[in-house]
Amino acid sequence: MAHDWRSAFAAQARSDYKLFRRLCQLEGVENCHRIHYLCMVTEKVAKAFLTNGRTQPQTSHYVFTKFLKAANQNRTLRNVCGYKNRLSAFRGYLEGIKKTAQEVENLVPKSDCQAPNPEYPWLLRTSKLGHKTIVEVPAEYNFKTIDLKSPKVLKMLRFIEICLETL
Amino acid sequence: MNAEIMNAAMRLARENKEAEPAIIRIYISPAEDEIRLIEIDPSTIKSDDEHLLPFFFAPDLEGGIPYRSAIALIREEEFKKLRLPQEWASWDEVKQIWPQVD
Repeated sequence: MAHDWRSAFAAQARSDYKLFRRLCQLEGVENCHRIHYLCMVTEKVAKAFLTNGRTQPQTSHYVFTKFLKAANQNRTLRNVCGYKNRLSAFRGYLEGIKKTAQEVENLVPKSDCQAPNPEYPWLLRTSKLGHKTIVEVPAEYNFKTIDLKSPKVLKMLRFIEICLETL
Repeated sequence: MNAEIMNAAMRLARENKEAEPAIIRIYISPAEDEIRLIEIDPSTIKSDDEHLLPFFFAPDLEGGIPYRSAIALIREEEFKKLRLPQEWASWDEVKQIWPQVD
């Protein structure tokens, strides 16, 4: 199927989201994999909106939170979310999603891998003399800040679904 | 820039200001097939890579916006500093459309 940049990012985001949902249903899957897919979905949804189709979107990973600010001004998204003519209520709804979105974006791996992230091991500490390093493994780490069954995450997921429908 | 795009842009700018009270000024970058707005909003997150990042939304016929629109939210200190997308006109061609200036 022939895509432009926008529909290509939207299609990949839909596929990532589908797999994220399947990972949530599967037992015995480490949470890092679900969170990894959630990071990728938020990034690709925002990137799909970052292009008019003709040009490749910018490469920044941290765009979903910024996207929420722009989404606040879009009448179509406001109506589909059920906030027709209720501007401040829609702004409040998106503000409620913003904190969760920031928590997800904070987990996107940085180039130096010195912080918790769902993809690469990161350095926890080194002994004073440098003889021993303790490294954390995403698959063994408890990502306490993101409870995928919490109402705040479910609210963000619903918004993501709406974005995917309107793209 | 054609008058129809300009009228739709001014309408969109007014609506965007209503939706986001933190906006202090709105500029338009000229284009023939889409509305390109740059909005100054002190409450927005600073860009992390020196590029202007516009988000594109589909035309909204029901809402009286028959063109695709691009919305870029930036902070005051980023105005005329960020790198504009390849297809966009230069900063010199950007004009303020809200509040309206004579």
